[in-house]
Amino acid sequence: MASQIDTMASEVELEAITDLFQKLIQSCQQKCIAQNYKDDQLTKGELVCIDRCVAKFLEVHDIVGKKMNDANTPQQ
Amino acid sequence: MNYTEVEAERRVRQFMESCGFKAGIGTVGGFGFGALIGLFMASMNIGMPMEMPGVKMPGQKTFAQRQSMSALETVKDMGREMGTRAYSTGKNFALMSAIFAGSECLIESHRAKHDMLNSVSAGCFTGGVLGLRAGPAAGAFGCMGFAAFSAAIDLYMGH
Repeated sequence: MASQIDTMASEVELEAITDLFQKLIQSCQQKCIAQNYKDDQLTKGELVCIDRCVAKFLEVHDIVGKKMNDANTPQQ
Repeated sequence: MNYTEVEAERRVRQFMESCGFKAGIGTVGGFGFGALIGLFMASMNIGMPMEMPGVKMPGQKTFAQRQSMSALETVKDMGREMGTRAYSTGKNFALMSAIFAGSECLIESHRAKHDMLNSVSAGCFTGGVLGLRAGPAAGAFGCMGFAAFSAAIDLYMGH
């Protein structure tokens, strides 16, 4: 019974991480990578932008997650 | 299909993507290119030194000295002169290229965008810094000139 709960929990977590990854890639690609490009290497500007985009996305994800947790369990 | 890099590879890649490395490459390349340009310019105008009787110019040889040198010595002397000229042009180009490459990389890192404005601003900065030694007017002129040159090169190379 415990192992079933563990399996379900890890499945949910896997799906959550996959979803996060997808949204992260989509959002940062839209923001940072130019529409018309002439070579396959990432430019310095795009590298810097992707770094910043990922950092901000994950931080926002953390903060929003914490606020949701606090909202769901206010009696502590 | 899945390539994960080793820690050493990651550090090398990060170093090669850094602004300092790019400025260093600019310096070396600029020196080489500048030396070639200097050689070319030196070969185009081998100066016939003006000699006034009775006036001593410390760096130049007198007519009597030049007459007494053999052909090989003359070639070596001219070669040394061309080398000095090439070295000084090379140093100038290296400084210009280092400032340009470094400032372009810094501007692009700050803006997090890749377009022509980066190189135009870097050109203005380089021209301004190099021209500021001769006063603010020369700095502004150098800024505009180098920015225009940089824009032209960028357009020629297709953004």
